[in-house]
Amino acid sequence: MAKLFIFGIGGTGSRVIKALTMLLASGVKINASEIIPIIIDPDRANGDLNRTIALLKSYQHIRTSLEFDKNQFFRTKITTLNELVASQEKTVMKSEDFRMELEGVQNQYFRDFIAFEQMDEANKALTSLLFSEENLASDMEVGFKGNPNIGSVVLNKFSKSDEFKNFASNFAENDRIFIISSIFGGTGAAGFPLILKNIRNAPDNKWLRESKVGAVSVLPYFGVTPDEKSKIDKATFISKTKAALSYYSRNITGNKSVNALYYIGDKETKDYDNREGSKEQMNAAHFVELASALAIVDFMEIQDGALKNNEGRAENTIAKEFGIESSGQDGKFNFSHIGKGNSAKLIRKPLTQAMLFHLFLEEAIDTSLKHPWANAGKIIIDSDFLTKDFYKSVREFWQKYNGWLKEMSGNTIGFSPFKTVNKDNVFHVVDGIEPKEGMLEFKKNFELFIDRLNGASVGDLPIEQKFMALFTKATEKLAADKFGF
Amino acid sequence: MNNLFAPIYEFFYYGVPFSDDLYQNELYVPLGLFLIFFSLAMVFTFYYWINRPSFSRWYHWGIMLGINMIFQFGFAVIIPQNKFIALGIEEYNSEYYNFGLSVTLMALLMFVLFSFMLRWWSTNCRQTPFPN
Repeated sequence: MAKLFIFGIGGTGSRVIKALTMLLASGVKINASEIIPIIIDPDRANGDLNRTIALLKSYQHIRTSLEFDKNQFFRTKITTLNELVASQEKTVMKSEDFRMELEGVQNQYFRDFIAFEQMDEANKALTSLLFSEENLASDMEVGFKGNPNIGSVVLNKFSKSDEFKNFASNFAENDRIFIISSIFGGTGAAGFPLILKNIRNAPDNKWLRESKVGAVSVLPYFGVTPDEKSKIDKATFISKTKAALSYYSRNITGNKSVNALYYIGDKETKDYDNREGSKEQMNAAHFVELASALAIVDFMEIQDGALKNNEGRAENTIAKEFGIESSGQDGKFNFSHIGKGNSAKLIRKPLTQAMLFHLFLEEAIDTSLKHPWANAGKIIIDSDFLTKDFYKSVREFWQKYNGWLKEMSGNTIGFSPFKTVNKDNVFHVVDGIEPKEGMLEFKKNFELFIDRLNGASVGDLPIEQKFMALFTKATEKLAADKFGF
Repeated sequence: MNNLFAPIYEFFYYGVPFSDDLYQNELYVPLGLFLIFFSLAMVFTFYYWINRPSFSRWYHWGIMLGINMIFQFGFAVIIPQNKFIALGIEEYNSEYYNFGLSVTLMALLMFVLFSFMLRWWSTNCRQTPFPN
């Protein structure tokens, strides 16, 4: 299997990578040996960005203790570009963690970035035609605030960065690239065509020029509350989208520079608080981001033969869109409303397993350690294990997973696959599915869960692996027995 | 079979002529079979039929042991009593209960023996009553 480099541009890029991380943590399979997320966002303090980076780090931290013969959770390797480079004894880059550093945007206004004051009068006049006074006074460090005209200038430096050079030199023949961007903002709308252009025109790197590139372009799916002080105005979202689509039709799909392009969007039914960026921009998760993450999984399933290139151009550009069968009731929908296609089948089992895992850790583990699943064999899972960093990290990760699901459920429209349950109705957790009850099945709720854990034979593995393997087996059986997944 | 069971029962309780009458009337056979099969049934019930996490502590095992002992005591008292009354042998009184108590002790040992033999394959009770 090949590596997958994912460029997540702007806030939407971060949120889609977050959704992908949740899917991979639950055990959704992706046809890649490892994933290298590269987040491009000049807004270093962006809330969405930092939440995603923290989640990715947590994923990596948990994964270091694990092997994956018997465990499905956290199976896919996620690497930073820095780690990939360091592992090959190349220069370690300036970029921290998963974020690519954009040079020249720190503590700078756009006016300074383009050296406006040093321009002659003719160039100043031309620049003033292209950029408003407000544009020129923009602080680069909080992103491009819905202004792709600024982003297209700043992000054009991308190919000259050490990070891009290292990415290019680590790109192997069969590796793939996926680019996530929104079409209606600033950073994403500007960044996508530029990254693509730099990939297709990479000097001295045939593999990169001939690489298989997929992308998701997220159309408007939320609005922002009107705010006279803010530079972001939702009234411009549709016009920007139209303009960008028109540009893409000539310069993305039109010139076949992308192999597969996924379109996704929704009605702007919910207005988020109007935040221009920084730590205050922390939008609630939305199903569109989950569906965009599924586009990445789908892209990796496409056979090489369907993604052939010729002289840096796709022989055929595949265009896909995503739809759900029904939007459910009262703006909430669940697994059954997604439809009978691959998407629901792909996610419903692992997401349910992860939810069951979370419920058990929150409600039942303390009192279940006396049972054989925990205290039989050479490796004992005892109360001391529950104080260890590994266990706390796993528990915290599933708490974030639950929080992410709750955010999606509370959004408009709300993807709400799970219901709130208590210890007396644990298996009513999957919305829209009545759990199967066996005629002679007297064990219920967490007692049945413990029974499945006790019955899960995984051998004497190191404690962390044993723990994850037991929950893989037990939740797999429960998902099959109770929900038919 | 009577000859097989008799020495075992008489090891735990031997009273003259009560034990001789038990032997002569071949009562050790039904008593022995009941001791084995009822104890086995109780062990199977605990480890494989009930087999619940919520009924897997040592005291749950103790409840099953207690039930086995009560039934074995009752059977060990009632079977000889009915037989001897039917035969007109009516001189025994405390012997029935002493014999019953010895059978109860045997039932305890039988239950423990079967538990140790059979518990290993139980999903939820393989560590009951003693952890590995």
